[in-house]
Amino acid sequence: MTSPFVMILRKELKDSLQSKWLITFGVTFFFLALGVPYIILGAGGLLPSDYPGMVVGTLVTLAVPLVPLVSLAMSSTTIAGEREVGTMEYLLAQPATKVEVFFGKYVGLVTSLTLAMFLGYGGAELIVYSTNPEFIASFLFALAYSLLLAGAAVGLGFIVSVSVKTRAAAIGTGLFLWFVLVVIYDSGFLGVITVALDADSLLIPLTLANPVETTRILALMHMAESPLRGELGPQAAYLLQNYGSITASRILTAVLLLWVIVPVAISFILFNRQDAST
Amino acid sequence: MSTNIIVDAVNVTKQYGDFKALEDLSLQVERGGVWALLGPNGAGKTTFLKCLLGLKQFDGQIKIDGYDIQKDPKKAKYQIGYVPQHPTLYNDMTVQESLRYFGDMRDVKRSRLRELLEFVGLELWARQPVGALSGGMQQRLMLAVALLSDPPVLLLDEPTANLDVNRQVEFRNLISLLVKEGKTVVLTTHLLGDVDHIAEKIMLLNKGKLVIKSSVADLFKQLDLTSQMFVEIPDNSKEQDAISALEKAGANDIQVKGNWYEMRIDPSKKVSILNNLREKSCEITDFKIEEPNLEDAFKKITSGEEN
Repeated sequence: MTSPFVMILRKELKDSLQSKWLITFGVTFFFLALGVPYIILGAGGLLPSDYPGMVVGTLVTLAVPLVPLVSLAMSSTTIAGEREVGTMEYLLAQPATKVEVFFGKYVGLVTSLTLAMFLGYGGAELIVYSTNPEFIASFLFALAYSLLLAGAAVGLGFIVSVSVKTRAAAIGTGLFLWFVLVVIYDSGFLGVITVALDADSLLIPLTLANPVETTRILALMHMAESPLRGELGPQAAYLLQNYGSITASRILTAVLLLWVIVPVAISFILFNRQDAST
Repeated sequence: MSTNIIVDAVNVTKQYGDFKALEDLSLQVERGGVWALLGPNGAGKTTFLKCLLGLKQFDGQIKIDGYDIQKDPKKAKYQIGYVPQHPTLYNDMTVQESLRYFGDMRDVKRSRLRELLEFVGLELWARQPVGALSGGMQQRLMLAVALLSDPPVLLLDEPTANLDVNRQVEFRNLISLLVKEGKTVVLTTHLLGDVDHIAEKIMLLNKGKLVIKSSVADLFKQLDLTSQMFVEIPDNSKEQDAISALEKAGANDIQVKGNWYEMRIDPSKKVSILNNLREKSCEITDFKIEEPNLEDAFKKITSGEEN
């Protein structure tokens, strides 16, 4: 007998890999990772040797908003969408536990996002870094943190998905959450609050309260050789100054791991407490 | 597990805030036959069906073929095939893929899938996406999925509510075949015609409580439901004789409307009424009888509950 967990995981993986969101995401990632300038410069034989270092910084800056966008868009609808059309109730009427259904969907979705990122990042990586393997570590760090960010965003999306009743409400709430985490935070929100309250000490807690910011700083901190290293911003500078790069890095990684674990735990508790049928 | 009780619900209570959808409900369903779960809107029949499936959390205990749905949900659900009111399979999967998907969860052999496709008459549509099937076909596919692991119990939620008359007949025929194979079918319905046609036994819920559990025939007896009889006697000079003959035979509420005599009678006294009239030389030119039906029973029970 194939376990319901495996069946549900496979279906989620298949559905996600066929989704327009993920295909667009994978292709966009490939071109971001490869870097359009690489193609142009490479064709003209004008590629500088430190090009990979330059592109990896740009890559993180661009990947950080994209990863949560696609993760939230896909995860927020996964349970709400099935509930709306009744397939979730039918699935739970089968000999499958809530743990199998929930984690089958979660793991399936995270796996599909991981595959898309591996193919997008990885494919481009092979091409670009064959010219200069020096920056491979930075690149792998960027990929690893992007995967953690995807895990965190999927968990947040699942909280949305188990909390709303319709697919439309789920995608609306998911995109609003993305807007808050990415656009609002990026538009000087932190600066305004800390200046208005005259409280620099709020800068770090507010940063850690956002997995997107946490990932961005963490990824950029690892790009010591990147020409973009100077753009770390006040939060990273504060962390490096007060804790040193190793401790700061550990703190940020631990927080990011919590961002992966806590939302998925909360969403499962909510899902488990709810009646499977409305 | 092979006791005679296949569904055993004990003190089941389901509460939403202050509202009790099910209140201390206890009932047992014996193995075999079609059991109709009846009740007015809000009586709790769908809630109870979903508690049987483990889709709702509740206080109390429900065992399906000996397995507790809350403590041992996987084994309990393995004993159940469920057909919801609206088809809820994945529209992008084909008929065959749907059967495989749910079949693999229940460890079903491929040969069983073919058998079921033939049983529900969908073998020609095996490669079609579910979304392309008509409502009746989707309902038959749901039945095939419900039968995958050959479960002893089938739970059907308003199974014919969305089908046209021909599809209803087809669906009822399939259910009859399954009952002959020994399955226990529990269905909710608000269409009393369904019950008249396929159910032998009923469980009537009202306000979250079990009001009556009985066979249809016993129900009429318990409720003392009468038939309505109409007799045409053209000879007006025989009116007094006719009325006394009818009263003597046990007719009640006799009303004369032109040549027609309308009365309520015990369903077993039809023949004696006609004999009595003949003995009094009342010439009968026509007669008709309206037997009691479930709608009458339903009204009588629920009005009794209201009072």
